[in-house]
Amino acid sequence: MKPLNIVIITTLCFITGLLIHAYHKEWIIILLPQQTIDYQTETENTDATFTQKKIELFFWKHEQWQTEQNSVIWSSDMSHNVKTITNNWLMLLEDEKIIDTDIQLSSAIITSNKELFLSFNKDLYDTQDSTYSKLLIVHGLLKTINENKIPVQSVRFLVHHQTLIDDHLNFSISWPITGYITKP
Amino acid sequence: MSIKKTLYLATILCMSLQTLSIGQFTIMIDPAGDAKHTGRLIKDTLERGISLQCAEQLKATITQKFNNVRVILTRVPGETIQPLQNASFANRLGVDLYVSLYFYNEEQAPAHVTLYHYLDNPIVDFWHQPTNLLLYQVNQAHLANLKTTQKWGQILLEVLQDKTCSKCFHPRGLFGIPFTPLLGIKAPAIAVEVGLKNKQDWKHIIDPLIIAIEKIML
Repeated sequence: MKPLNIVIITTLCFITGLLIHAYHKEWIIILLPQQTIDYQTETENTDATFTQKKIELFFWKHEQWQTEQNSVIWSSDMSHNVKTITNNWLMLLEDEKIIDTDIQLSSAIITSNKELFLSFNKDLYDTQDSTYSKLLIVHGLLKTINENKIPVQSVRFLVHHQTLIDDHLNFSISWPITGYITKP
Repeated sequence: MSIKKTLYLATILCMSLQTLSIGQFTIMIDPAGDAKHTGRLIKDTLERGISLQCAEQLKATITQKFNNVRVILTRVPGETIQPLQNASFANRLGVDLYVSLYFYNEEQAPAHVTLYHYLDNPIVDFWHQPTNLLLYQVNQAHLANLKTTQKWGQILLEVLQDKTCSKCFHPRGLFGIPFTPLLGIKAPAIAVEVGLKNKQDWKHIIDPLIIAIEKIML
């Protein structure tokens, strides 16, 4: 074999090796035209499902359930809807002076077995409250989620993505969406 | 003394103690808080102090009134309770009734009193048929005596609703909830949460509790 051929084959092998290495390291990304089209269609579909909807917010005051209606942007993404509902509900409870200020829902995730994970930035209630008051605050949120037809069966309460620790109520288990109290 | 003799004596002692305890009704009273957990603030006092005072008073009254009742307190001042320690203690002793006492500050008059028992699932728990030869998980221990717990809780609620027995409190009801301090207890376990306007008002809950315990034992 001529020395020139050896040089050409070596160079070609080096370039091929370099390209394979670059592909593996994701320096080069190969995107098929179909994938691009799918992505665009999906984006268009998501955009199309935003609608305006009236939601009902429930809270316990003066020994009975109080209801308030709010208009929100309803999405096809249920986790987004849960976040909107919960933050509206938290704002309402702040206005009614039932809970402390600056409580916000950090994230909401619905799992495949219809379990909803709600992670807050701080405890939902004052630790000096009675168990009954705490129970009714939690029940108000469960009732709000349930009445607004969010397809979940149970809810887990978290604070900073860790299980909410309370001296009286056990949040290490999943709470049924219908709550524990039938009366009131 | 040989090992055989020691074992023999220990067996005899255990059997004698068991014989003595037949016909005895054992109540375990759990005052809220411990050396580490102060509980809620009631005026200028902590919940753990009031609950311990109330538990001690309740124990003294029961012991004085009933001969066949043994009362055990879950803690003494300065003791720290580990999670599930009380449940383990109650299950090993085989207590007949477990009462947990809680207090909080309430400005409203008459103050409220609320009763709780442990419930994991509000629907499925009531379908359970208790079986003795079965291993229960800690969150299912309450299933063994759920019906008795509800029955006795209802008796206590009726006493509290009776204005001749309980004048100072307005009962809210008996609720089955995942109440952490009652987790893992096999015996009928009821938590009593009392609202106090004045820190000395805990004394008014003693008489209704005594009447209810008397009715439960009957």
